[in-house]
Amino acid sequence: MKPDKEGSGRLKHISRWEQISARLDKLRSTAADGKEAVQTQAKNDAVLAARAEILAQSNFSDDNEQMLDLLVFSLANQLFAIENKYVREVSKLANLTTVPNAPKFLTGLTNHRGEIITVYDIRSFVSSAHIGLSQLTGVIILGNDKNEFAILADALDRQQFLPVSEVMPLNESSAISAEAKIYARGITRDSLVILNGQSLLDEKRLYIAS
Amino acid sequence: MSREELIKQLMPTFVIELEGHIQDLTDQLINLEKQDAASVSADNETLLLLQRTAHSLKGASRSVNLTLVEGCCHKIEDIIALALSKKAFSPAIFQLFFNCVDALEVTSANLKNQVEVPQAPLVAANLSLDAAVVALSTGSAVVAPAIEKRAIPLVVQARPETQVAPILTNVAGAIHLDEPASREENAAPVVPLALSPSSSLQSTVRVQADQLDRLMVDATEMLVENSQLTGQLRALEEIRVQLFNQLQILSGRRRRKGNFAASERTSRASRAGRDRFERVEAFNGTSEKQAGQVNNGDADVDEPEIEQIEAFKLDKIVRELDQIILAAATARRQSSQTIHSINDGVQQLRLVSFEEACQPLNRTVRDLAKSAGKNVNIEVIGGAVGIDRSIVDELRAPLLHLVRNAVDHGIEPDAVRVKSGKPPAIITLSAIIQGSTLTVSVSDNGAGLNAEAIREKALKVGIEKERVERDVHGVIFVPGFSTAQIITEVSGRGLGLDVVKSSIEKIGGQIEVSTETGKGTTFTLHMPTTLTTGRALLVGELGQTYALMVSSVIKVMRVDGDDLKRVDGNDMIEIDGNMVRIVSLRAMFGGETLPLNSGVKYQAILIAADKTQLVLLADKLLNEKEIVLKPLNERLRKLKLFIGTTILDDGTVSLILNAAELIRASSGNQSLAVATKRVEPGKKRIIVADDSITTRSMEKNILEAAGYEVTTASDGAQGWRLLQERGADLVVSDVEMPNMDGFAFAAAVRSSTKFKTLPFILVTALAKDSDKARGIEAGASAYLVKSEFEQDNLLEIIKQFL
Repeated sequence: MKPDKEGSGRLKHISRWEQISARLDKLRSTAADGKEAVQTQAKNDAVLAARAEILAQSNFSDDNEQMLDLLVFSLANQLFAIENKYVREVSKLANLTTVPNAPKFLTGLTNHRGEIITVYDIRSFVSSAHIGLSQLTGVIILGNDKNEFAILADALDRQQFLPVSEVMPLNESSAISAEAKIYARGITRDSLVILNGQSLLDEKRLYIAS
Repeated sequence: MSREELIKQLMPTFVIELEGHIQDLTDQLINLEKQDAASVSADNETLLLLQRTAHSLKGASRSVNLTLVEGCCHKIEDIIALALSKKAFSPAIFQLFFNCVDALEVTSANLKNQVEVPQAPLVAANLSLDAAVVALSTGSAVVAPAIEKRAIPLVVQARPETQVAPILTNVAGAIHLDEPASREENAAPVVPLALSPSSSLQSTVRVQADQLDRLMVDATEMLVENSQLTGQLRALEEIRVQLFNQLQILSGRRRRKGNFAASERTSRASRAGRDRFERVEAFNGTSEKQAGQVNNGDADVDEPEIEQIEAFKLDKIVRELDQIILAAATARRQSSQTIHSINDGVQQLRLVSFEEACQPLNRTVRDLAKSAGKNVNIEVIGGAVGIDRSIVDELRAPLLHLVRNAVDHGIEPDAVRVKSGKPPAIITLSAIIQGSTLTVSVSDNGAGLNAEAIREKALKVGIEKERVERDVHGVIFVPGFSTAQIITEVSGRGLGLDVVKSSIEKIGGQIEVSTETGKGTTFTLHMPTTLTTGRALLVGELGQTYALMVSSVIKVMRVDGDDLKRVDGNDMIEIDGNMVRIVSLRAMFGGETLPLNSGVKYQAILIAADKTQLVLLADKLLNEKEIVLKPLNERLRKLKLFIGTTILDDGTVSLILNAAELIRASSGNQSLAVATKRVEPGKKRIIVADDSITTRSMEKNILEAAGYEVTTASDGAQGWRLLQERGADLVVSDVEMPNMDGFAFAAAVRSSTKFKTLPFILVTALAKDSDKARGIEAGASAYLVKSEFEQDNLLEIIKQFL
């Protein structure tokens, strides 16, 4: 008999109510998923409209300067960006099936609204740093006109418009790993590495050999 | 709408119609040709059909302004009429018609691909028909142009250009055609809705094949969604039960309070009330006795009205919930029935009769036999068997190849057959469906395989002697094997029997050959009835669920650790008098092999592919169920171990195992045998708590592969609950998590009497010394920084504690 016997019974009840409430919440969110898809669309439209506005204001010094529309994310303690035109969708990893006997960077398969998407961990492609554990909960689905595959991100940081002129070409002295250079189309002054979406889509290693 | 626009709109429909007419004409001509040409009379049924087909096509082609096609049909009708009146039917006339059909096919293919239709073949056909009309009217013999060997490429997708247009040299006013026509066939057939023969009066509708495919995808998607709904309903039901239990507790308290009111005046002792309450508890089946102790507090007694209202409200909510659940369950059941019936309907729509699937082969056999100077008939058994379109598509190339092989090599020249007194040559195609397996066989009554020639050649090309001796006929499927005696230029081109074999295996099927010298050869193909759905056995291994199509499963059985024998680096076990290799799925996946204990029965699956059996040990044998197959995407297609994926009821993805590849890859695995003295300890159980699913899965995989039993939690609170409910030998926890972080989790574990000494490993991104200090203070046994994390150091640390 524990000394706190009387109190713990009560606690138990409360925690059971919490469980119930949590489960109801979960069910509710499942039900809301459908709604969310619609809302996402609306949200996207709003975002696009806002972007159009920003672009129209042309508060950039150079009126005709080309802008890069970027998704910035963190991976292996570094910030990367990829052009939004290669990004089909972003979400959180909700389920994962690992593939036995496959290379380590093939994280697995996930069911994304009925579509089976291959998920890759590209840390070893873009970073030479020692790869320990990282969050890897963000899913960025890439593709041109259809969902090709997804890469994992530790966190999705922000959407950003960047004047092309701020992208510096990579050179020997660029402080990024040799691995990342293969996929990078440039780097900004504050060390944001802009990945080349197409070269990721074309990457042969992502076609898993037998 | 202009005339051109109208024609443009009509064209797709016309092409579909044209394809049907071409098929009909071909069948009718083959049929006619079998009859004695001289005796063909006006009331000949086949001839009537032929006339009707030509007539319909004439009308249809006129409406789309294809005058050359119209001309062909018109002249065919004329020639038939003339030949009948003059009793002048001859094989040459039939050949002439065959040539016309060829020209029509070129036209059809080009129209379908929306390519400019080359006029040459049609012009040539028209001219040769004209010549025949002249010949018939003047009473001279009709001369059919020489047969161009119809070189039908073996692989449907890659058709070489071949010359088809007959060069008419023998006809009056010899024409020379400079332009060879390219002949292309489009692979996608249009499936008639009904399986009944086209002559039947039943009305049919033609649909585009890809529409059916889309429908199929949608229908199967609905099946999956429906079964997910079942799971959600079950969860709702559980919640209802919990709510109900809570309500009972509440009403128990209320009743107690009622008693209280009565007894309070006499005694304030709560003893009696508590006893009563405990009885209610027992009645409700909530085993925790402590639940009763809640009522010891005075606060409850002070707020009776509120509790009454609460209970009343709750009661109402539960009743409402009941109704909703009931309604939802009914709706789900009904929709499930509808979905199943839609699904069955779509499956039916996708069926192509075996007869129809074989139709293109008729012409191939006829042409090949003619050019080889052989007389070969083709016979279809089980023509009414309906086969899913997906399978028909995959079967087309292999069947064509096998039939060609049979004509070219299986069947002896007529002279030889006559000499040995053999009956007329026949190629028999048969289909039968048993359960979910379709068996198709292609057999000829020719010479049979020459084992001696195969053996000799096999050894010469370096195939292992042991392999050859084990199954000499099976050697013909080995890649790289080809013998002049076996494969001539026609069949040797492009696709060998190894390709036939691998294309059958790719769809989860098997092929075997049986032969008897002088009697013939039979190729038997076993495959699933559809590529879109199928029955699968679900097995659990390393915490994931895998599917194994039942078509490759012979039986589920039990094996004893004592029955194992180690032979040439493989574990073997005797089954029905044969030694069969035994391997664990875990070892195949690179996990640590768990030795089998002697005297213990283990569940195992006997699978077979390619005449070889394998006993597969899996962690768990789950249920058998109907699954929807989804192929691997092109980036993963080379993963040989899996033939596809499916989505399980809980929404997760499951990989479908490739039985043939499992068997091939099973050689030389770690021994399962028990070291005599070693007793397998009970698996150590570990709880992994991390809010990142990737990290969780990764740690789980590492630990399970190392032989631990792992339960995962998505935060500290869940981990702590799991620990209390099930216990564990060790905890691996992240620090930053919602609800309850790793520090709090560790502290909770340390402060409990039961788990005070449980090894608790914190894995964290926080590398600062102060964080470490905090972790140690909270009671962590070890502290692992994420950036330094490696599989080995995690296992190393765990080993220190367990």
